[in-house]
Amino acid sequence: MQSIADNLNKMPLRIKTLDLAGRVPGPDSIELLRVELYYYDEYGPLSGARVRYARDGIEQENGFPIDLHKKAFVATVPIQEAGLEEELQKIGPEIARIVYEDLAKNQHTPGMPSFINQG
Amino acid sequence: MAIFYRGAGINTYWYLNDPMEQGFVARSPGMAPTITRQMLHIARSTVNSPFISITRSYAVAWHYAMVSSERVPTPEDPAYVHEIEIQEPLLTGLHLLDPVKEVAQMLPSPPSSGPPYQHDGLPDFLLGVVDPGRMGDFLIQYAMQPPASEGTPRSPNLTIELETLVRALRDAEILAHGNIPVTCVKNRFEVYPELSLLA
Repeated sequence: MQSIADNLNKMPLRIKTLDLAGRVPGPDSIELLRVELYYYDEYGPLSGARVRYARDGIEQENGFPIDLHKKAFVATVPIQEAGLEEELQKIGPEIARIVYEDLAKNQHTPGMPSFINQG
Repeated sequence: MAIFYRGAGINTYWYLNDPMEQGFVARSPGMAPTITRQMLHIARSTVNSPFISITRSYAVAWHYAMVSSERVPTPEDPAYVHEIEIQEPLLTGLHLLDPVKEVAQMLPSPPSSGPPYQHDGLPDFLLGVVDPGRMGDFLIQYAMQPPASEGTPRSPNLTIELETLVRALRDAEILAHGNIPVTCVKNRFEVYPELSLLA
C-alpha cells in the first residue's frame, strides 16, 4: 500500500497565487494577503486552497485551508484555538466567489493569466 | 471486511491527535444523524456534524490531506492518510451510512407535484456540480424552456439532494456515525505533493 502512496506523492503539483489584500474584510486581528491554489498539470485547480495572512504586519508561516466547493474554511486546531473560526466562516463564500471569478476570467481570456505563478 | 481512508491535513484535529492511538470521533456526536444533517455535511460544511467522513478511495483521501493542510506537506513534514478497516458485524454504536442510498430513500417519485430533485439544465450541468472551480460556467447557464413558455431568465435548478448525491459519488464518500475505535485504524501513510517549478 505504501507504493500506492508513493506514486500519488509523485504527482506534480504547482501552486498559483491570487492577491487578496484589501478585497475581503477579514477578522480585525489579522490581514488576509493571498490565496494559494494547488494545480495539477493539464487538470486545473484542486477544490481546496490556502489563505495566507499576516498578524501584526508579519506574514505567518502557515495559512488557513479553505474548501472552495463548500465555501468553508477547514476547522484546523489553530483556527479554533485562535477563536477565528466563526469570523472566517463568514467570509468563506466571498473568498470562493473571488477565486472562481478570477478562474473564469483566466479561462475566458487566453494569454491573460490573472494568477501570479509561484514555483 | 472493507477498507476506507481518511485524509488528515497538517494541523487538523486528526493530524495533531493520532487516530491510531485514540480512534475517530465526530466533532458533534450528540447531534441527531438525520438525512438533512447528512446533506449539510456533504454539500455544505462539516464544521459541526455528528458524522465522520471516510472514503473508499485512497486518492480522494490524499487529495483532502493536501488541501486541508495549513502549509504545503513535504517528505520531512507530511500530511497523513489513515487506513480504516471495518468488519461486519459492525461494533455496537458504529453505523456506516451510504449517503447516496440514504438520500435516495427520501426523493420524490417522478409524478410528484412537489419540486423535483433533478436539474433542468443542459447535460453538462452536472460537470459544474462536480467541479465548480473549472466548470462553474455550467452552473450559471440559462435554463432553456420550451418555445412560448419563457419566464424570468434563471440558471438551472440545483437542489441540495442532487448536490449531495453528486458529491458523495465524486468522493466515494461514506459517513460513519458513532466512534471508529482504534482497533479499526490500521495504517497511517505519509503524504505530500511533488511540487514542480512553473515554466
